[in-house]
Amino acid sequence: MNAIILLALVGVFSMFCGLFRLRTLALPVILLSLIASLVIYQYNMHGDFSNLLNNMVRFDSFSDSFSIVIVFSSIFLFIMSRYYYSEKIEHLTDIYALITFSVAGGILLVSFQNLVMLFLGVEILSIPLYILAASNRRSLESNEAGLKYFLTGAFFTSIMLLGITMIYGAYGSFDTDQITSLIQSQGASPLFVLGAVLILCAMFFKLSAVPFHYWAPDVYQGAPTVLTAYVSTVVKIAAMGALLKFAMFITHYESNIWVNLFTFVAIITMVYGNVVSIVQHNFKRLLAYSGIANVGFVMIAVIILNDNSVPYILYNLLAYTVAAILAFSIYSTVKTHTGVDTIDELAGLLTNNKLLSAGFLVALLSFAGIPPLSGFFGKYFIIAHAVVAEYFWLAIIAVILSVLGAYNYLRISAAIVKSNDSIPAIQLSMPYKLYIIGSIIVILALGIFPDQVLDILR
Amino acid sequence: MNETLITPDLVMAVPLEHYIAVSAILFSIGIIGVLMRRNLIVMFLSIELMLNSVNLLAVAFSIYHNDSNAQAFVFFIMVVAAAEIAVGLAMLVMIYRNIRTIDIDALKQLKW
Repeated sequence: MNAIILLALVGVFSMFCGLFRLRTLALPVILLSLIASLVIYQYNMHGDFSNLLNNMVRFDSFSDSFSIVIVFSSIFLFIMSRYYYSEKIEHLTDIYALITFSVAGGILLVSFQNLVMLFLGVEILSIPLYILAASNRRSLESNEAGLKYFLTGAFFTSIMLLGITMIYGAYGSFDTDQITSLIQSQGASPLFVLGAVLILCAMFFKLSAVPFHYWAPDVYQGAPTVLTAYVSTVVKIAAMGALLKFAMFITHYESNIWVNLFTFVAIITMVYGNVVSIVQHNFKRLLAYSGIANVGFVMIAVIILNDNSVPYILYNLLAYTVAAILAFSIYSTVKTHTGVDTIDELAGLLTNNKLLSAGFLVALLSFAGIPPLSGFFGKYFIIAHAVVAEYFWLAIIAVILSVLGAYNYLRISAAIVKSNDSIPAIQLSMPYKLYIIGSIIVILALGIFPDQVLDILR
Repeated sequence: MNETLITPDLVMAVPLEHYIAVSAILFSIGIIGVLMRRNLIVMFLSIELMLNSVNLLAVAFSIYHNDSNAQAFVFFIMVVAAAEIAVGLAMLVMIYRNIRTIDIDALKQLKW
């Protein structure tokens, strides 16, 4: 709770920085507060709010691991946004404040204990995103992305509310513990199953799982790249945390329906994401589809759902996140300096821009799952998890589709290393070079010490 | 003074099934409105209609369960709906300034 309060206050502070012309102060303070939140989670300094919270949220090892990954990823995101936005942009501190509020919402979402908190967490997470997606006011594409995201998001909010109300109607309580004991004593009512399916639909929408993925490519392409990076990484971690927690809650009602539902969604999501990404030419759209495919991949661990699921899911998402933020950051740098938009136009990046290409290649090969990069172990753990749980056919499908998905990343990599000097050398500032090198080191370190990382995440 | 208080008895004079039916109808009208209409303001109205049908359902369940939690939940929904629609209307104004129409069929830049 201390971390949520800290982040909310820092968000307000950041808005005031914009008011009093102290905009250079905002980012260092936000980064410090994120590091402070990491310390809070590492040393369990949550503060005792149990009297005030009335069991609405619970901070246990599950929510701590997810919150650590959310906060850690958002540090990378803020560093990226420092280089994405030029200093002169009018509402810079407001943008930082919105992202900070959204991160606080994400932490709240993964700690929910009461269905009301689930709803509030989703909304605190999403409302800033609608604004950010449309934040490039003069670009019609950004307007369209924001509007599409807003309309579909608000629509699925009402679906989720209907689901929560149905569960309430079945048991007369919003508290997941109480509902669990009522399910065990009274048995499950059909209203509960219907409500849970509606809530799952809304969560699949947030995760952009098929068949609720239609917004993702459009929003990714139209929105500012920082928002794209945020939606494809931190938001997905938070939504996956909520999905996992909700899955643990609904499986108290023993039934095949959940396993069948998750299996269905996981398989069509993987197939759709990997197959459709082959025909994409815009880089942000391609990453949208690869993000969809990754969600399907992670959902395999949700199907199995045992003690090992949480660290494996977190490792996969962390590996994906660091690589995705690096790739988006380099892509946006290249785009602002040269106007490159499609993958074919990236050809020959290596000739004049060694460091940018190195970062890009490491990120892409990590997506493709080349050892010893982190993406390999992200995939390996999930597939091994499926094999240990004796879901062999699921593991086979996952392996085939991840090979298919690797084609896309190797396609971009091949374009980058082509000898062609059509892209001029781009001047990079020293801190930005350090950021790229730091990200590469993190990707390598995650891949070289996977066991130690898993221990932290457990 | 002829003042009518809305008591639980008054609410329970109508059977629960009727509340469920009315809110289901309202919710469906909202969904159809979002899917069929192309005017942004009407689409926002339809989303509000969906949220309010949930409110009705929540209050009805709350009284039949003799538990006030869902009535507090309704206030949460109202606050969030207000915040959401504030964002939506701001977006609408921004889009109107850019393209001079609020017909969403005009926004067709992003597709593959």
